[in-house]
Amino acid sequence: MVLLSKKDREYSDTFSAYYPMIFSTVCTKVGSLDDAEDITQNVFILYYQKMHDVAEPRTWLLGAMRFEVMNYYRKKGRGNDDIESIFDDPAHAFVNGFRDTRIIIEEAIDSIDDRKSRVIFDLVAIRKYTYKEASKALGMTSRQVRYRYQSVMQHIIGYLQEKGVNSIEDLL
Amino acid sequence: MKDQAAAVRQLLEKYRFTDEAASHVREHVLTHAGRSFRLTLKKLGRYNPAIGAVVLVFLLSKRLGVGLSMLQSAAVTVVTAAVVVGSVATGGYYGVKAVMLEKKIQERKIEDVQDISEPEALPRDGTGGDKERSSIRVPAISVEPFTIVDLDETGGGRVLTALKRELETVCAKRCTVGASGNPDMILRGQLAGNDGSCILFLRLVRKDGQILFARSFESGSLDDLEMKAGEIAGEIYAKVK
Repeated sequence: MVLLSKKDREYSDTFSAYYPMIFSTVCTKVGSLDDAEDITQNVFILYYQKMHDVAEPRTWLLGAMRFEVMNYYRKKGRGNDDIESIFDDPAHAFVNGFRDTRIIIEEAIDSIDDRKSRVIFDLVAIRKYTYKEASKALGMTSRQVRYRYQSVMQHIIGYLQEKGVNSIEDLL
Repeated sequence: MKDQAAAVRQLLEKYRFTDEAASHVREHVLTHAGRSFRLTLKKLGRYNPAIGAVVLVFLLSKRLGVGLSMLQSAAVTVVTAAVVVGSVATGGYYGVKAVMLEKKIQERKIEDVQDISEPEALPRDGTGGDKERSSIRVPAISVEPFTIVDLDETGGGRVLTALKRELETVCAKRCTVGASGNPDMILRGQLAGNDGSCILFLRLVRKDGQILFARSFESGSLDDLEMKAGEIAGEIYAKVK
């Protein structure tokens, strides 16, 4: 198609898939919608410029987002320790067996291969979007979102069972 | 399964995987994603009207839950543009054709009226309608002063005036009679005296030189000739109508 280069098409697909997640995450970090909008746009502009070197867009975008948010706080004059605290890994709050359990759950989430299913999981399970909101954000029907979300849940349950977790209630 | 899914959600909460987006943030995502996408394209210098049209289709499809890819959106845009251009071109073609046809019909009507050698093109009953008549030029007959030979000038003038008047009456709505800057026909005449009688030679000539009417009328006196003016005008009109 003469109208659009392959790069443009890939960019638009990535943007529509990850914009809700990146923007929501940035918003929780900076608190201002306008600043979050600017940072998110910068992240995607950087992504467009580096697209050829990016193997996994989700991981790359999250890394770039972290970098941009840190830059934002540096410009605001916040100290490095202060900035690092914004990105504190929640995993550090867990020790011993709890930390192991957290790692297993993380692996289960990371084992979701399908890109779209992972995006739906991020929005519905992590960011608490409703099916309807997720469907609007991703250009799908609510039924499609619900179906994929349930499939992902099934996948996670299956993964945990493979790892010897027969009853999830035991982990609660 | 439902219970297990709920348990997984609880598990995610407990182990702090969740990071709930506020409702106004979610609302912002839904309302500003398209604008933000366009802005990034503009900042990257990748935005132009064609891309804009594709993006519009792309965002519209997302809003409708169809979720077309950019490639599919581009295809839809191209097809839509082709259909629109085709429709406009076809409409324009037929529109221009109709206007030209109408113009031709009008021209033909005027030609028919002007071409007095085909008199049947003119309405016979004089009820062509005011609108139609106003759009068609009425042919003009210019009546030139008679050449008077061996006769009283005043009497000759009387005959001429009478003939003009009768012509005006007879021709009425079909043509105008009198001096005109660019007449379609010219009526010329010679009034000559001949041993107590008088002869009127009349000739009606079209502007291209074709003689439409040529006849002589003999009468005992100028008064008789003046009386015959109506009859003469009728004969002339028969050639004009």
